Amino acid sequence: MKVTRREFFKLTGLAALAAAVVGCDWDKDPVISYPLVDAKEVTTICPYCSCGCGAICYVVNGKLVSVSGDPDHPINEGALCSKGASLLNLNTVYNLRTHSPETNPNRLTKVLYRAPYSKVWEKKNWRWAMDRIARRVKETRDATFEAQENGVTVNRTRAIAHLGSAALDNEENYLLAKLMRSLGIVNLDHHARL
Amino acid sequence: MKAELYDAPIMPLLRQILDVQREFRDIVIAELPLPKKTGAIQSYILECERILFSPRLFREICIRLASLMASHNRETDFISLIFSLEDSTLEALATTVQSCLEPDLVAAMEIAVRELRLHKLSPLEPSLLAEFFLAAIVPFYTAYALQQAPVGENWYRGWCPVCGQYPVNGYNRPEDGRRILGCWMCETEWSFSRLTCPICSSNQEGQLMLFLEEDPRRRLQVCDDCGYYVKITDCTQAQAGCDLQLENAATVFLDILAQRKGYRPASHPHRLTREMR
Repeated sequence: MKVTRREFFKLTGLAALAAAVVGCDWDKDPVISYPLVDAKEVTTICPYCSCGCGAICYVVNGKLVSVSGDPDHPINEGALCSKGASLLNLNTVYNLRTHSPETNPNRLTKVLYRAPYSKVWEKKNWRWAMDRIARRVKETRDATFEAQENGVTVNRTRAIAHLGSAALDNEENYLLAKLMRSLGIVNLDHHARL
Repeated sequence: MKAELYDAPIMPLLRQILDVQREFRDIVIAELPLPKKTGAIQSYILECERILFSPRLFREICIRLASLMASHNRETDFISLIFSLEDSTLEALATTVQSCLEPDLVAAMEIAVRELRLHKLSPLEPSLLAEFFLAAIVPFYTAYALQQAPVGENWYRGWCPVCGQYPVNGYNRPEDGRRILGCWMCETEWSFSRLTCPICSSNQEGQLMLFLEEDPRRRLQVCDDCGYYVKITDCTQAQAGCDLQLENAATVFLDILAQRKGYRPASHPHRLTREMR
């Protein structure tokens, strides 16, 4: 047997030397035919409160399988609170019958609309919903808009209020606040209380 | 796990080599003490400095390693070569490796072997001689690295802060999940962003991880931007980190699978030069 440093596979350090001396024939090993599983680590921001902790989502074959704190994030440095640690359950629930995790079947995936005095929910599309919301906001604002009060310019409407969800992050809250102010909405608050 | 069948042939020899290297690392520290340095590192320490080298100790390490090799394979006769070399040649070998412009130390050692024409004195291939002498010079590098002030926590670059080599593997440490990369040459460990490629610093849309279903703890972090990979062991559920030298050998199957898919090991960035860093 000729002792040689196998160039077909580039090994590093002691593994290369030991493999050459021992004379491993990698080509004959069945492991090289094993399929590799594709996974991806992507970062996200925890949506629960305004701390904005960083989290790493672990995605295997396009499916979210775990979420953990991002150790490189300057705010939480890898830690998550008990609520943040359950981030995976925003998407996935444990099926007691099959004893395995699955995508939450109760997640809303379509726009649902219940008309005034109706008892049933109707499925609508996003375009319908956005148009209707925009139209109702415009009508209400135009009907109740106050330009002045006691000779002072106020440019406001007090008929609409906006309450931001605790699940919004800082950037979404910032954009929402800008939008509401531009409409003249003054009853504006957010939900996170820390 | 099925893939651990791979580890069996090389692990016994590798453990013995590691024992010899670490034994001599302590001897080098005792015989060649180095004053600790403080202050910021510009590129990496050994870019401007030189390791402390002793031809006598180097010869002793070579002899120990050579007898190990011979006990595993009689055809690997390094001993006669070592006895035929003078101290000045061994000194020249160490100097040539360190002054070589090639940033990849394996390639630098092969250049040194060829320049000193050592391959003419032995029937063994120059590349194998290079790997052997590299294993013998490692204790001088690890001793040098151990005597430096701790640099790993404040080093945010992809290459080793001591000797400048790119990592072959790393692990996610149990305390906080941070990624620790390890130098295959001087065994320095440093923390590095989990989602960034140590070679090209790309972190767009996360890093692709590949692993075998049989062993999801051991993964390949591959970068589709530059085509290099690093092997990562997830130790977040473990009690402690891992010995990266042993882990490198235990994950040879990942090297093979990655290279079959066309990725290259980050420890051999042939296209990069010092000027490009």
